[in-house]
Amino acid sequence: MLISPPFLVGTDEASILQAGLKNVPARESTTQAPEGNFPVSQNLMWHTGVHLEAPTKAEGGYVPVRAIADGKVIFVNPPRAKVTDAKDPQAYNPFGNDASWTDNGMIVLEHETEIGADGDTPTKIKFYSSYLHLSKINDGVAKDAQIYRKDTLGETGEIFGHAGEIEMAIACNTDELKKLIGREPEWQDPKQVPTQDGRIDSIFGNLYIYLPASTPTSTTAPTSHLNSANASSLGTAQWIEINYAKGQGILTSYAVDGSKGNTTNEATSEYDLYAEANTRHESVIAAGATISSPSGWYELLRFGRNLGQSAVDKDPLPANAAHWRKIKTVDGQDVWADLNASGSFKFSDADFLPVMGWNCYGDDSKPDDQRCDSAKLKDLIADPNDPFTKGDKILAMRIGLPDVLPKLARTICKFPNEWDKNTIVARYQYLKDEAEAAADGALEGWPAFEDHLKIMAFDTLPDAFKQADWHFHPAEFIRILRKCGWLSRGELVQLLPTNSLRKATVWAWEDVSLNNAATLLSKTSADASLRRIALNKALRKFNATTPIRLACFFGNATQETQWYQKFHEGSPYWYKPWDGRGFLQLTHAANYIKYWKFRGLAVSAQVIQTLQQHTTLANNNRPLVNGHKTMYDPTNSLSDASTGIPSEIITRRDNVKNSLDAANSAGAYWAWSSASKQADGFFNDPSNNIKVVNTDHGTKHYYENSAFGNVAATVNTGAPSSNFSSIWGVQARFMAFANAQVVLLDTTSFPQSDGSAKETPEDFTYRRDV
Amino acid sequence: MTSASFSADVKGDFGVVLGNEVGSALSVVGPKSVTVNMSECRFKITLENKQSLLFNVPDVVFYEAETALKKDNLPYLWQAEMSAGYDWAFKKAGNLRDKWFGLMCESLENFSWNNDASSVSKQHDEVTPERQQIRDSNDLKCPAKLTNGEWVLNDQKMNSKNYLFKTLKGINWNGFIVGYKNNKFKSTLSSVRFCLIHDKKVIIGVSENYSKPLSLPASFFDTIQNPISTIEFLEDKK
Repeated sequence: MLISPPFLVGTDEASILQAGLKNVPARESTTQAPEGNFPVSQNLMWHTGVHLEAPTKAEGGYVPVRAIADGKVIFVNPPRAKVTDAKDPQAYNPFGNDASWTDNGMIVLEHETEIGADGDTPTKIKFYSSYLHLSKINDGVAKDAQIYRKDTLGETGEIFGHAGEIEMAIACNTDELKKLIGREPEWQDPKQVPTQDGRIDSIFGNLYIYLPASTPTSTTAPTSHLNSANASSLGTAQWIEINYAKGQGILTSYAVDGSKGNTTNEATSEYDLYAEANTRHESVIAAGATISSPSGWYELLRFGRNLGQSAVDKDPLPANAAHWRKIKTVDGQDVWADLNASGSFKFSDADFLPVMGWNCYGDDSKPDDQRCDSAKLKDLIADPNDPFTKGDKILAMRIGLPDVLPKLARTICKFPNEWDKNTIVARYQYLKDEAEAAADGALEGWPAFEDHLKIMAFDTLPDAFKQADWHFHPAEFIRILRKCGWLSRGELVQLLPTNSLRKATVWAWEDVSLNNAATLLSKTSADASLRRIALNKALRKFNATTPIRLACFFGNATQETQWYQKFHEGSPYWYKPWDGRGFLQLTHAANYIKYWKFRGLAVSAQVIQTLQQHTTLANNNRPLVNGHKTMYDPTNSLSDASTGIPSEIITRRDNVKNSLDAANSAGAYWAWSSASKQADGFFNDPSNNIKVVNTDHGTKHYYENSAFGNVAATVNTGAPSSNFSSIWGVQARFMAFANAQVVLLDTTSFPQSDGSAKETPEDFTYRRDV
Repeated sequence: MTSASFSADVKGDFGVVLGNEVGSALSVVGPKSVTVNMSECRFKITLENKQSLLFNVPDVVFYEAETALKKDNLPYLWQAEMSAGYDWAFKKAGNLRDKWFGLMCESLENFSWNNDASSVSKQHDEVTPERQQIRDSNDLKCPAKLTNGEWVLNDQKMNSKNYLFKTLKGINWNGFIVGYKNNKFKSTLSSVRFCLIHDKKVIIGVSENYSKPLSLPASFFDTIQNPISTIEFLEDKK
């Protein structure tokens, strides 16, 4: 799932989120919260979304509104042209007498995507994003139109006379919410002690590990990586959050009530996961363990648990494996704690943990009106030290407080669709009734308000959208789901570039066929679906889920597999049959053996020796012609007939082209060659340098980026290198990387040959035939 | 091979840039002083009359001829279609007596004679199979090693009548050149190789063909050194 803010400016994650999800200021007097707050706003009434303020453009005006994710247009209301009549219902001013125009252009998108998989079944979710108060809707944004993330939808409008704003909302129905958060949509006590690990059908973002008070600890780095009764223990139950980012591992402790404790920064632990997994594996093997593998340890370090492919298909890990990490406890003690101790439980951001503030509020006792009657939500807003602060007006004044506003952002609330014309007047009727009861007479101004409500509502909203009565804070929803990185078929299709360059006597500019990529991208093939799941799991396991790492991976994998046509290289060269297999074309017997050792698959010393000898033999037998070694071994010394290796090894090798190993071998290779570290070099130099090449289709362009070049060299040679010019197909890889940037990154800049800069490369064509 | 869209004028003044950046020329005809941007290798070279340089990413081809070589007779780079590691060679169709050489840019770390302990590859405790293949291949492309400050041909068993060898020293580089004589016609060379080392960059130059050997006049071994001697490595633009 790829998702981004509705406004896209900035160059890094922080600036993009800040500019793209900026609340409008607090303007009205009943809340002191940002105007149009979620889930409640003025007078503590439910408010479907949040009002967002668009960044301005350098040349004036506001940046356009963009689709936050791929989806389909299910509703469009063209905006009514602005009029100057102060009495017009759209000029209604709830805060004064001056005209304050509010635009009524609206778009609703339906998004169907994937956030993980349960075994062989993708975890598919459906949700809706709505964009209201638009002043313009772009041509082509029509009902049933397919929309892609970052597509411009239209222009911001005015809300109560303030230009450059929209109201954005995210909603889904009950069944979809269950799949999205992985549990029943019920309020849970955040302090509740977990009794089992979190979901496995979706895992993303930060890890959260519950540690019981009995968790063993040590003041020095433990030498054994197996569980043992320890003299000391944590003493106080707490949670540990693990955040892997840009090579670091940041471990933060939280009390059982969710209050933040202390942080420990592991400077390079993310980059070192592969090495550390091997170290711990070797340690327990030396101690006599017989069931272990670096892969199993890698999963323990990466996920806090050995997920494997399924409950019954895991790479070996000792049943009593300890997961020692240095933490700073909630009371400030620096200790090593076993994060895999008995009674510990593991989760991720995909669990939307109550202790981390996520909770469902479906307890509105009068769900048919606009007033918030959720006792649980009111408890959340109320001053915990003053139980007499639950009056609506007092609560409304608290929602903008620094200790309340962030809590509200993680509420998932059930209330009716705000913009349904059939019910809107009835939902606000209580305001009139209460005011008239208090004043003992007709409420002056009600007819104008009622007219305003009617003109801002719609009578043709799709039923599916109206039935999506669970609402998220859109900014927080975007922030959390951005961590997912699980790619749906539709997103993977877009990552297949439309064109490539191939070196010949004259450069060939070639089309890339989607049909030929059916092995991975077929809509109907069960094997293709398995391959996509295995690929996503491998990318997740080996931490290649950030946009730039994904872009670097796919820039290589698409070319390496010849646009997903070849999961086995089928090379005639001397190193066959140990030629390339999988997404990154694992090659040479030594690399196959390294991969199997990582997975804990036995390879006898005799087989290893035989393959080493025959590899040398095959290499030495390459004829030297005019000072150049040919690529062929006429003696075929590495053939299975020559090596005589067991059939089990032959089968295992040949299976590397299949779904699980094709992905896992690529991930392992990615990890042991430190490709993520090279990819992260993009943050230091994101420039795309335009290059010109004469082709059989005329002058064409591609873009070099130094970080990606390093990754290409890393993938191709097994170790980082700044030299990439000699790699066959590196120009095609650069093209695939540029395409991947367009698909995966939020903001891109590609210089053009005329000196200008655009969001897409020169000669670029979107792949949109999904 | 020329492209009007890349070079407004490659005949008149000095200081033409050859490369595949916007505004660079893809071909240059001498006499001219040329700045070449070839991957990580940036260098200056001076062309005499009748000498040409062609850039066809990632390689550069130099040739000397009375008239421009026909498209079908131009030397070209062949790259092995490999999923791991890489290998390449130059090929030449048509007249095998044509005077030319191809250039590629390499990194010092991709040679077995690289002893730089600070090399990036040293971060890994093993030389990968792919890297070893590249080094083995490059050792053939640059078939000499620096021993006690002198470049010495790797194959010391080769009859000295069968090759020409010379150490080269340029403005800010050092290297060597070796010419291999044809078996039957010792007055001709089947191939010529030279390697120029500057800092952590290596320019590999080669006149070769697979599978039919070239038939270069032996004098080419000396005349080729004239343009080579004008090469001066330039620092990265960054």
